[in-house]
Amino acid sequence: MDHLSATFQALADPTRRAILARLSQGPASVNDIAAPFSMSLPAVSKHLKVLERAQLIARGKEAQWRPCALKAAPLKVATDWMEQYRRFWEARFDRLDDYLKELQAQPATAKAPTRKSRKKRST
Amino acid sequence: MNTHPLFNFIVEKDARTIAVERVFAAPLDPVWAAWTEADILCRWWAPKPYTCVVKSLDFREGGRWLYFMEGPEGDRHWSFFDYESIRPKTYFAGQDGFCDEQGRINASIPSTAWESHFSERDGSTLVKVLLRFVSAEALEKTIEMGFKEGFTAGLQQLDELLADQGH
Repeated sequence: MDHLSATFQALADPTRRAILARLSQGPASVNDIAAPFSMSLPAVSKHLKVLERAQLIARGKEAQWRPCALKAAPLKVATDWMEQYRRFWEARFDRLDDYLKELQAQPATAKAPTRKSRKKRST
Repeated sequence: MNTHPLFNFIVEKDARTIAVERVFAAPLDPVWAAWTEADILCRWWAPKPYTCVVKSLDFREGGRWLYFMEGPEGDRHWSFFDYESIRPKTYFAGQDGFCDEQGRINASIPSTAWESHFSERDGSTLVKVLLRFVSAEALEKTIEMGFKEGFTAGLQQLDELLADQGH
């Protein structure tokens, strides 16, 4: 699986999104992270593993505590992607603008007469 | 006329929706026609340097629009739009996805539910498009399909083109 797919898959789960939201406030231990959920520690650990595999979080080396921290880079890739899709739409709409401008520049063939063309007709 | 028109692009990851809003400096009639008539749609639907070729368009509930976008390298991306509900000059909705030239749906890429709303105000027309993806993966795959690296290059060309035209 490529990085982007891993990112989106990791983000597809509400618990994992809640974990990321918690970590956006600073690093935390597994116990801290698990506290707001009615979920066993192993279940929380599973979610953390998915997030770690997607490289959305990093875990400390200290054997006992192993704090989890948010890593922003993959999120940035996902955001960049959205930006590309946004620009796709923007480029598409620019073309429609061009067409509509062209259309209004030739009032004789326009279906709905503009105010200007109505004036012309009355004179 | 150099003012930038309203353009909103709102990604709601949790709701798996993208809302696209745009105002066009033209009355409702020509804008509605541009979104629903084959000969006009193919003039703007594909961003430059892509071109859009319409194979068929049956704009009625239960009808289908079948088309492809062709890149500068001759790569063709066949797509369909199945119209599910239509309120003339107000709204249309349906399913959009990828297929082959026979219109056989590519099931590996989930289709996207569309709603397009049109309203006129002071001679300008607001178009709101709501794209609803079945999953985060579907959202990702849809984007991946047509708009990856090659496409970025295309968009850069577009920027240059627009700059040349003094936009």
